[in-house]
Amino acid sequence: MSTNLSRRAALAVLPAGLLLATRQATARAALDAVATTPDLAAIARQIGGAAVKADSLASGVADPHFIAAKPSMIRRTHDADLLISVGAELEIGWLPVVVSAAANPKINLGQPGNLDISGFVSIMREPGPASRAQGDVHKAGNPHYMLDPRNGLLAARAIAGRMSELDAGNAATYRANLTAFEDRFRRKWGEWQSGFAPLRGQRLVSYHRSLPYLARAFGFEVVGEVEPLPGISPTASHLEQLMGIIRRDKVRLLLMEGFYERRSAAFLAAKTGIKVAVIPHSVDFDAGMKTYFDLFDGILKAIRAAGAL
Amino acid sequence: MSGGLKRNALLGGVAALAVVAAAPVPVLAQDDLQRLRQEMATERARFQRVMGAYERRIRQLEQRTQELEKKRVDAPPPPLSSPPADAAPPRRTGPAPTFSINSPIGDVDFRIGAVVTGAASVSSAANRITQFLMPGHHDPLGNGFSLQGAELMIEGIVDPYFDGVVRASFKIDSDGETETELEEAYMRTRNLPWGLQVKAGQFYTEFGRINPTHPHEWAFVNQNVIISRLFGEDGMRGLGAQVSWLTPLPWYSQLILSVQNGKGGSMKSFLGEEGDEIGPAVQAGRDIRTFAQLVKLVRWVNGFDLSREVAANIGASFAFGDNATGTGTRTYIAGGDIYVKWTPERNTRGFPFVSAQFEFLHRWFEASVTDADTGELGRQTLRDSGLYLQLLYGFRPDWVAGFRLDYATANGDSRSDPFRDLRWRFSPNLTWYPTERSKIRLQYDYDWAQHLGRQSTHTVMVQFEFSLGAHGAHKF
Repeated sequence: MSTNLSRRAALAVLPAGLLLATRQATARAALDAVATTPDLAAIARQIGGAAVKADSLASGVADPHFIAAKPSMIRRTHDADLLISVGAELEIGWLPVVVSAAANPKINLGQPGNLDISGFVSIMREPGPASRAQGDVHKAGNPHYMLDPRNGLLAARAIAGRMSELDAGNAATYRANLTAFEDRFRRKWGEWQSGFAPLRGQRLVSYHRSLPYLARAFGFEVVGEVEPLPGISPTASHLEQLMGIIRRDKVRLLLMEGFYERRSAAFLAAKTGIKVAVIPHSVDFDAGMKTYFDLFDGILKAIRAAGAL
Repeated sequence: MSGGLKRNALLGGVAALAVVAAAPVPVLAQDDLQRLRQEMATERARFQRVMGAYERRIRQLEQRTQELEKKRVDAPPPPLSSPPADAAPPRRTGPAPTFSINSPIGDVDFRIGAVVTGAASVSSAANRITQFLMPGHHDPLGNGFSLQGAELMIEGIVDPYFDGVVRASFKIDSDGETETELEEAYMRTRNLPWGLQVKAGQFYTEFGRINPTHPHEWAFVNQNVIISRLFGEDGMRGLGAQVSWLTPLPWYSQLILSVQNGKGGSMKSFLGEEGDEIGPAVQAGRDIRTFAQLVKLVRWVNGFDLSREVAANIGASFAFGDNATGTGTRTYIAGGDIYVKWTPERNTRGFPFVSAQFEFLHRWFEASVTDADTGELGRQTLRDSGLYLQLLYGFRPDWVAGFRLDYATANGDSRSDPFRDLRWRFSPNLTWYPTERSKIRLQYDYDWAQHLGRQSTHTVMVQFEFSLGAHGAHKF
């Protein structure tokens, strides 16, 4: 019984994998890129054009801090020539698991196939030393930098540079697409500046400490957050305190991402009359938002819909 | 003559020395003193100037910091006039911040962490009884306070070719003595082609879902019944090597093969430790001499997305190797596992979620047994099986309600054997995570064990845990 059993088991388990291992022959783009967030994937698609296949591990409605490292992501990352990440510890809870399980030497740290955008953009840091006593603060700086569109432009340049390096044959395409991106950016930048103009100099509150970049780009000020500390659920006493700030500074608008609970915001609205705008935080937040430019149009639209502009 | 000459020379030398030493010195000292005083005054003035400059600078910086703290919005905008569009930006090849920590010795390329788990519990039965109901090395005592474990972890990138992991655990036993164990110490390849990875050293056998995990990763206070029966109080692990292959199948499909030493307390079902009893059989002391005496594992695990919000893992594992109760007596363990998790795409820090985890294990243990009556040596196959099902519901951010069912049974006359008798356990629990770095868990265990007769046991446990330093990313 003994030897039979082991042989039978080995026969059943081993070749089953081998037999099924017929790779699907699919039409491949020159470069296979995986981005951690839909923002970066959208920029990669714009820069790469037809030469690049690019998609995102995180969905556009999910909180990019807390993505489950699903097996399908590991499988997807295994095939990639280029992994584009936000960095600055945003994906620290899940990306290391995906990368180490993906068994793909091309996208390892230090390889040209590993592109961490946080090294190419302007990052804001909290003053003073970072401590866990302050909640989920990131030692490497605030990672929500893609909400300053100028950082998106810097990301596009970094992506174009790395794509040209990995796929020199299409470098001219990537360069041309980047020029088109920059031209479009210049037009949109002016549009957004006039769109956000009514908020200039205004004091707002946010849910998470994710909006300093948007505030920096469009000249408003975030004076408080619904979370007492980043990543810590709101408490009654903190909301009480925040109401004080809202009344004192005559704050009229609360901006929050769609993945947070709405009860605290509804409570604040009922108590203080503050307007709540649930803004898209990412490309693919809803079906109409396909490009990085759509993201800021969408934010403006959400703030207008809340009646605060 | 020579003596006189010598003495004269000596006297002359001494005199000369005396002159040199005595006469000019006061003059020199006078000058020097003057000069040193001047120099001191100059230096003091310079020091004060520099200090003043630094103080002014510090005051400026303080002011600037305060301003920035007040208005984080005032930070300078990023440069827009930076590099021309076609110039490739500077390459960043150093370790990304995701993997490095700031330490007194600068940015280092590895992560250091510690997890400390303790519990306080009370049971309807005495500790001499609960020790058989909760035999796990990291399980709490039935009554009283326990330090379930203080685990130190270091892991990181060794070089372009290898990752390294070291995990050591400290525990205080029921006599108050500190026990240390090196749970894992292995290296793993980073850049093999074709989806291959090789791991070598001391590591947990990748059998099923629970065995390869550390106690602080469990969703319940104590070890699963069938796991402690088949894999031992501390799980199945040993020195060896493992190859894993992420197959090119269009879904996540991984094949794992490993070979490990079969000897020691963490290889209970195989060569084990001399004197260990498995049912009526006793393990002899045996050294590894043949390949058959190594423990071989085959595991195949597949992962799928059932929808955008539901993902599942299905695995099958098979381990085999010699045991030491007789000559050529073998052990086979087969297991299957399923894990399904639902998380809505719009979630708050991973909440809400619902997950179900199920494992089934069966062991065939060929035992060489001495008949108690006749004294004759005979063979019999001891068959043990068991399962667990655990359900978790993260019903609001930071709160998880759990329920676990444990069941185990065995063939033969196992009624009075606490490690082979019929067992049932139900464990509802509730966990609160103040942050992802700390947790407080309340658990109730209803235990029914055949060897205790009709009496069931009730145990209530409160578990506390905190982690310092690097926090390992969560596996699916």
